[in-house]
Amino acid sequence: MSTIVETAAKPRLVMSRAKAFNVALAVGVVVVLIVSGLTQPEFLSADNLVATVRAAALIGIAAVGMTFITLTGNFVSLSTEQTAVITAILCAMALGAGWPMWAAVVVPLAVAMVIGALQGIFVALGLNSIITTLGAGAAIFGIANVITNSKTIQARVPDPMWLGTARPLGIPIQVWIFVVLVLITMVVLRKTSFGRTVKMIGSNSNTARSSGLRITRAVVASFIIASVFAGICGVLLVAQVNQAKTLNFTGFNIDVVAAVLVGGTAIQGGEGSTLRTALGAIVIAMLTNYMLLAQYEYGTRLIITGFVVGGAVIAFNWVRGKSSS
Amino acid sequence: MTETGVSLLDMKNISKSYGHVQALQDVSFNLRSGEVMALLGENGAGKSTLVKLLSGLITPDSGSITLNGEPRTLGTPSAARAAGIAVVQQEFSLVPTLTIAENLFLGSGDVRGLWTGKRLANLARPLLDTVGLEDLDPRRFVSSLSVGELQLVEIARLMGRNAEIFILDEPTAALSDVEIVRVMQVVKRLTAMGRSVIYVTHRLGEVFQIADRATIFRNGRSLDPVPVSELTIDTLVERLLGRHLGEMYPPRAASLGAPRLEIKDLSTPGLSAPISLTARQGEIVGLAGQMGSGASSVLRSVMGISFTSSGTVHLDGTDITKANRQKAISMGVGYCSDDRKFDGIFQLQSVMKNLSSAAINRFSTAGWLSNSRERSLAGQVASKFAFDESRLPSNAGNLSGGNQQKVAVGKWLAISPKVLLVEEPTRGVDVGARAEIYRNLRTLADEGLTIIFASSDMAEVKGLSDTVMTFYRGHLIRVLPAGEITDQQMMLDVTHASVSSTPTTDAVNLSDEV
Repeated sequence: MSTIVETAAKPRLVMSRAKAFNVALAVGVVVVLIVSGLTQPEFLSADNLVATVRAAALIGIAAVGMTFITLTGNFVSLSTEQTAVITAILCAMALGAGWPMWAAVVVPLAVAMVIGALQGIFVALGLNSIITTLGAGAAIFGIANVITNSKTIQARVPDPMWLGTARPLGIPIQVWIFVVLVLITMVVLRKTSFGRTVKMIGSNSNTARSSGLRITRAVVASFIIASVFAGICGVLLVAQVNQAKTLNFTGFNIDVVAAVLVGGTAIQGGEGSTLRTALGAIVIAMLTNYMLLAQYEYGTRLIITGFVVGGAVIAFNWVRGKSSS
Repeated sequence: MTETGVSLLDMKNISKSYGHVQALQDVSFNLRSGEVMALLGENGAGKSTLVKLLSGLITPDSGSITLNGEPRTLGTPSAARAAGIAVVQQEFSLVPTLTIAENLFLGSGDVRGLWTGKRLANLARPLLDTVGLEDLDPRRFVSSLSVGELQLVEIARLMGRNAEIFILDEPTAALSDVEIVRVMQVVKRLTAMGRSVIYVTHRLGEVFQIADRATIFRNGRSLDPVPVSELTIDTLVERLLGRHLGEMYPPRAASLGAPRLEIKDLSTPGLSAPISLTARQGEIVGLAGQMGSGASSVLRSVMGISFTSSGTVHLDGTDITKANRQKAISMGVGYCSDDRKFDGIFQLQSVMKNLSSAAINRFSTAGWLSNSRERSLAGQVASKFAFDESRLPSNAGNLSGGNQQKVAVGKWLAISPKVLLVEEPTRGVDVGARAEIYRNLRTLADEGLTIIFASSDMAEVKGLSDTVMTFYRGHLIRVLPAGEITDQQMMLDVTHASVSSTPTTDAVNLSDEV
């Protein structure tokens, strides 16, 4: 018999929690920006900022997609970087073979969709998502190595592609795509029955099932979204550098998971937002960029990233515990 | 059985409240050494709160606990353990992937040095012998044991910790007859060795077989302990039920409509024999039975949750035997399980999202949600189920047990149901919220809803239903209009077979004439 007394203040506290998370993240972004600017002046140079937001956009797009998986309570996907890699390679091969750009983009993304759907079906059938995506990631990476012979694939596009280098209003195209995807996913999560279902499954999958929600469909769709968004990252990379190789996205899984977690999406599912994930991605990208400029060793960078993620998760859990007990 | 053992545990004037809910009020409890004290009471009467107090999980707001003549506080589980109080868990605390012997000594610190299989087995042997498991190889893995054996191994483990007071919380609820006999024998052996047992049960027959005295809890208060020899099943039932039902339950239906849900020869796991049932419009049918009686199996089978092996289910003449859960919901059947935290509510979501969760298609167009339609739907549900609308934005998990239950049941109104299936409609709910839930359900029935509920609370079944069906171990025992069945008859139906089918009936002979 666990009875909790309700008080009038509770609803307000709950409402403000989401806002508090957003504010905390925005403050985090600003703090990193100021500290970095003061200690590494070149951090604020135009070139570096463009490079940073591009990196943030790639991490962010994949993380925004992965947020759907996390929201359904299926933790994270560990096949994100592998999916990005295979999509990039297929895109580069298609371009190299002289396909028109639209086909070289759409076909690899369709492959990413199938990859996501297969993993989603396995997870919906009851397989653990970590094991499923870990296995899928290894298999996909293997295939990528086989079809490329572990060599770099040249796209051989004569002129730089606008999809990689265009800067409408001075802002890189990747950032535009990132922003648009964040807005779309925010609307989907808030305004559609699919988005609602995703969150309800993550809150309590048993209650979701007993309420007649379509769990399988929503889980499969979430994996498809995560996979296609990872594929978009692969395509964008090819458009930018005009080639693809299997080592293009090394370490991407960790950055993407870090962005989702720093964004405060509950790892057990049910609560989170793609806007916050996006902010999380910006924090991770800025942090990484700063540490590169400051010439930190690879190991040191990993340690610091690890502590930031751990600290953020602990902080968010603490806030949640405070407001739900 | 030592009738005149010395007083071992004495609890006086214990009170404990959770928020507004007074779980225990001025309760006294006494236990002598070497006796079996039955602890009886309906759901929510305060038995489990007392058990939690004794196991150190919660502390009383006031009152005193004396153990062996010394005042004690049992603030933590380890303090309770050190005081010699052992709770035989309903959910067992054994590690399935270790052997019996390893489990017996896990964490005890008694066995130093290497844990070789042989050495542990030798140490485990005497402990297993005392609980009647002479034939069990201590090197077997715990995962291979039956539920009854698990319970006995658990008792052996606690014996190894020199526990003085054993608390058995509904030990036989999930056991077969043969295993019940073994557990009872072990309980007797424990008392013969001078240990004391607090025996919590719903099965009244067991009280007469095993207990020396009985303490009855009613609505958070305790009655004075009575020697079992002075009790009959009649007086026991009377003491258990002794409360005013008048204000608690709304009047029954004046008239019933056309047949709505017709179940014919239904077979499903949990039922030993097929059953048939017809529920009319505006009727509340109460299925009375203890855990494992098959009462809730019927509901699960209708809802398409568990497999229907044979028989048919018709809703307003339409065959829904094969309908899965989503189909059943779309046909207007709602189902609420007996565990709201498991699959009844979304604790971390707002009450509004909870109330609308079963009816998303009713406030969305082509997949797009309409906030205003959702609000008005949730508002309608809230007003129909007497739920304070100002609470719609709060998280369901922050509500009291009673309000959570209102959410878990009330959310089905959003689908405009024809039939509502509810298991244990008021489990873990305080008296005030209970009365409210009963009133709400009756109002809905008066508006034409058909309600079928399963419950182990006899007073609830009798008070709320138009028609009562009693279940025991997979068998439908009796169907009667609620006005024609007596409390005692029901109590006998759902418990008496445990007496007649158990060979160790030495204390009482209940006639089988039913």
